Amino acid sequence: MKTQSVFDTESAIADLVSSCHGAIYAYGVIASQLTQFDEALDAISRYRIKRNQLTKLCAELGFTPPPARAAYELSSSITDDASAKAAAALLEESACAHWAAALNYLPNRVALSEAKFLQSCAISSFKWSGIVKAFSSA
Amino acid sequence: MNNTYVTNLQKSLPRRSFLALLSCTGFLVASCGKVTPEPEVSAQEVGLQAIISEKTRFILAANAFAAANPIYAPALQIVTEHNALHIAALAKFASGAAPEASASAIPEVGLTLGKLSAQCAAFSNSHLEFACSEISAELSRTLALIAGSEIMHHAFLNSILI
Repeated sequence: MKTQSVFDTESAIADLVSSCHGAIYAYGVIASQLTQFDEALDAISRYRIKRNQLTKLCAELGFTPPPARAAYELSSSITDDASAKAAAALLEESACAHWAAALNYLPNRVALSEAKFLQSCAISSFKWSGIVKAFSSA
Repeated sequence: MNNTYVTNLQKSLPRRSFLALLSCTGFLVASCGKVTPEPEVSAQEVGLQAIISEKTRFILAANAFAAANPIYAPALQIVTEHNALHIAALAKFASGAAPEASASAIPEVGLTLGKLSAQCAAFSNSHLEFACSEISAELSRTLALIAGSEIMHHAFLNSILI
């Protein structure tokens, strides 16, 4: 989920779609290492719904959404329950950073709902790590 | 003007100095007469100052509450320190001086941890709304990150309550 340069509506939405692709892939790996994986599966569903909403928005605005890659490089190695939780927290923080960068460029009609999604990412990050940050970005 | 006075003054001052003094005085009087337009304060600036003010008041209220309820002090210290960092980050975007809030060690009557937690959630919602308005991209990004932190504070304080 590396940050692409965001400078207009199209690049902002493309970056969010790419973030969703990356998060869905990463949560698959995370879920495989968690002893209690329900929350990771819920997170996959959450990102799938968001990806579909954003892909639909791309179609409405005449943009081509970026495709998912076959695999993504994960920012940390995920080998057990603890490292999986740490990776999940980092992933959600990273999502906050992507949504924060995109917010200003999004169409008014979707900006507030995307802001709510950012809040859900921040809460998820806290739930995974139990740590509150002054600036919710990785 | 008294002519005698002018004549006497001319005697004590060299003519050129006297004329220079008169012209300077005239210039100053003319300058003071001009109406200087009030600098226009943008909506972004107004919004920023309001956020800084409300965060400053929040810190004071939380500190007073923590002093009266030491069991919550460690948790509230994290939240207030973060809010101070938020103010510092936002002050970089503000052109005017940051407003000062009067310090008070007296806890607000009826203030509870639940109310402080609810205030964090309200901050997050309103700051995200401001981030979505017509402001600079960098301020929007900073505000959105702050709003993410504020909703974490809400979840954090709620986790202590339950």
